[in-house]
Amino acid sequence: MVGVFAPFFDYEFMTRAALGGVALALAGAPLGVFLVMRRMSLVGDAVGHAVLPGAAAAALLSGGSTLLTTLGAALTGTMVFMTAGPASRALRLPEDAGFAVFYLAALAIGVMIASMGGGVIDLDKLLFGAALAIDNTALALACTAAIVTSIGMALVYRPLLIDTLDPQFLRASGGAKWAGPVAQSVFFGLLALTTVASFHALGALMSIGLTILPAIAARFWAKSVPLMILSAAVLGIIGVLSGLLVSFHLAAPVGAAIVSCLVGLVLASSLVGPNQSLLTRSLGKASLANRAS
Amino acid sequence: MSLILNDLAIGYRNKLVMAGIGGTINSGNAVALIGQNGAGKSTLLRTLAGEQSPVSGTFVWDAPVKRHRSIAWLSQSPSLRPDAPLTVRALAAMGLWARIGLFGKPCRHDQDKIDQALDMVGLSDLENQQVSTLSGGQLQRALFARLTVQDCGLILLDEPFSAVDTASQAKLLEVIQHWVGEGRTVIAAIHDLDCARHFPLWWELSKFGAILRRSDDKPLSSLTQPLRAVSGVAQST
Repeated sequence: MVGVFAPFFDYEFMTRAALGGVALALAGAPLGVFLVMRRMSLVGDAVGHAVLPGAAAAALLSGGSTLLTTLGAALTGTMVFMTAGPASRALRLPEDAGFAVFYLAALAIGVMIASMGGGVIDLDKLLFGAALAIDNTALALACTAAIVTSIGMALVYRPLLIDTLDPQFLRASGGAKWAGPVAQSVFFGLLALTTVASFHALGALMSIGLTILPAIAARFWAKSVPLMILSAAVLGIIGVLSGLLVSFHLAAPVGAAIVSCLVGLVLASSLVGPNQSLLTRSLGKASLANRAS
Repeated sequence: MSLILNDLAIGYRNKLVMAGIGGTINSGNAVALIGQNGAGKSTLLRTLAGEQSPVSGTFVWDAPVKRHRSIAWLSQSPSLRPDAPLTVRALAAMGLWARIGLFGKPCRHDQDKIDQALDMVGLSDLENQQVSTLSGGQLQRALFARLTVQDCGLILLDEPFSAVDTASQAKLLEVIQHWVGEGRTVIAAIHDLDCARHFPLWWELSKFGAILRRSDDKPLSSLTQPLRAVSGVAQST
């Protein structure tokens, strides 16, 4: 059994991937829980896709520098996030439709830019990441995201929670007027940082997976928001480590293996988790029927 | 010591709902805002709550004691998410936000206040239950507990009885009486005249303006008749 985990100790690239993955799981946990509560899971996905054109252009111009690729990714991700909502409202489109247009456009432009490099840019790496080839800069970025996100979310936790669950109350409760907008800005800034940090490991297509999927699974394990965040962190770490092991032992693509493991955790949680899973709901129904009879 | 309205005009960017609202409501009063749909009841409450600006004119809430300076507002459609992962107690504790802010910790006195608020609305037994499992009436009582914890001097309620059963309505009316007994001012938009009957003051909004009067001034049936045209209207109590 211990032998299954040996690669984390035997191979430096696995140790680095595990460290980076754990950091990203810790960064993503509180963000994902709030994204899911705010019903913005797909908006997060759209922003994840939107990093591609900037990353591709920066990689093309810089010859693949991790730092510049990161900055490019952050630039277009932020631009799409800042403009998609207002543009949707100006065009009187539903907000999700606006995001769909923007992120498909970003994806298409990103792929075209990447192909202009004539093979210089590894499109697979941009789309699907390279968690096993994570370098010092990307690892430092993941650790920074984990630390900054933890501090930032702790600072704005209270107003962000009220803004998420009852925005009208936050505005009209007599508290600081700036609290809601500031909490939102901090939250989305941290989301952009973590998405960009995840991009190196999981690529543009799946970078948000490590944020959203553990949070969805966590709803089946906890009733309160702090416990949901804790569950999401633990589930995210389990998903990352098991994904890396699956990838190592089965020679599977690493990003896909991690996301598949996270999806597996969502399915397992929805079946047997202690809160509102299929199992607890059917047990509840059975006990109600017994009491009635 | 009162809410003073100075020639207030309310409405939206392109639509004036009502102009010339003026007068004074002394603190420690409960006023039922009545009037037909579209008369401006909700608009007036939203304006007083600071959710929208007056078109013109001003209002002043001059609280009798410092801690009653804030204004609380419960809208007809609260924005609380129906699936919010909160217990009833956590929802009531949200009322402390304006006072404890980002990092303050609720003290023993605050915890007692939450206990008392839950007791007053009859939800002490359900304090650890998730709000998503409450009935409409129970949820409204939980929101009243949060209003109690907010500890504001002026409480604005938009159709507070519209989705509750008779038992919950009686409990909510008790709570309102308790607030008034503590010297708070309550203004509630109410479409049901039977509910309005429980309030000592009526403030009728109509196309002619606003009229404030005591509920025992005239028989209830007269409220369904057109009011005499008075502009600029609310009389001092």
